Amino acid sequence: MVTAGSPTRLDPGAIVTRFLEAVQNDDIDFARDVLDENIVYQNVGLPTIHGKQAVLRLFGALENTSFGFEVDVQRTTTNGYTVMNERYDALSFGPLRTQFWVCGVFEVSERGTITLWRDYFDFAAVSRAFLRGLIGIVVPSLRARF
Amino acid sequence: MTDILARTDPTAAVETLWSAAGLGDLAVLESVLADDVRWENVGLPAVRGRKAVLRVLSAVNWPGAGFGVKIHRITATGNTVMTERTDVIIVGPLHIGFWVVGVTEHSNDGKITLWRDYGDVLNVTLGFLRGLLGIVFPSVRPRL
Repeated sequence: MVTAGSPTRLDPGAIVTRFLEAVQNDDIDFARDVLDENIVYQNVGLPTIHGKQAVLRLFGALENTSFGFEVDVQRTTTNGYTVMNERYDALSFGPLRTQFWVCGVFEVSERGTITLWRDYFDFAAVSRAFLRGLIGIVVPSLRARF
Repeated sequence: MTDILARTDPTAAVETLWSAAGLGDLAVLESVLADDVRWENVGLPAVRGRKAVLRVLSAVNWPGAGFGVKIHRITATGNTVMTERTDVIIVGPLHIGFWVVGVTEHSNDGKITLWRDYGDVLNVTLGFLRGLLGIVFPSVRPRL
C-alpha cells in the first residue's frame, strides 16, 4: 500500500532516488511502500530476486549487521515510467569499504511502485574496489570516498 | 524542419549515432559528434576529439567487420541521454555480443560532447568465448 507521505506524489526519477537513499538510511518503511509486490531485482550476472518479500528479507538480513550501503547518484534520466541512473555505490562491512560504479535501470508503475530494479556493474571494477578496500583497512587514507 | 528537429533533440542524436554505427556510415557519425567530443569506454583510455573517434570507428568498414546494436531503453533529462543496449562486434565469423549502458552529454545544438559506455569485462569475455563457439556453431551466435 502506498501511504501518505507518499511516493505517488513524486515523479518516477525522484521515487528511484528516494528509494536508494532509503536503502542507504535503513528506511525500511519507505522501501516497503515503494517496492512493488512483484518487483524483479536483478544484479546483472547474478541470480534474479523475485518479489517484495524476498527483497525485504535480504534487507532484513543485513540490518543490524555492520554491513552498510551508500549511494551517490551522478545522473538520472527518464522516459515515461522508465528511469536510468549513473551512480557510485559503496558496500561496507566494518572497516572494509568497496566503492564502484553502477548503472541502474528501473521501471515504475502508474501507482508509483518500483517493478524493475536492474543494476549493471563491472566484475573487474568491483574486484579492484574490493582489493583497494582491503588495503584501506590498514591504511584508512586510501579508502575510497564519494 | 524535421531535419533541424532531428539534430537538436539529444535522444534523436543518440538514435542516429547507433543506426549510423550499424550501417558504418561515417559521414552521419561525423554529423552527430561535436568537434571536441570525448569518448570513454570506462576502464580504457578515453579518445578525445572527433577526428580521433572517427579514425577508430572507421574500423567498422574493414572487410568482414561489422557492428550491430539493439537499444532496449533510451531515457533523457535535458542534455543527458542514457541507453541500455546490446552491442555486437563482428569480425568475420566471430560475433561478440555484450551489454552496454551508455551515457551521452549534448551541446545545445544536440551534438554529442561526451560519449561514455559502461560494460563488464567478465560479460565481454563470456561474449568472446561464446563468439568463438559461434564460429563453429553459427546457431550460438548472439542475435539482436
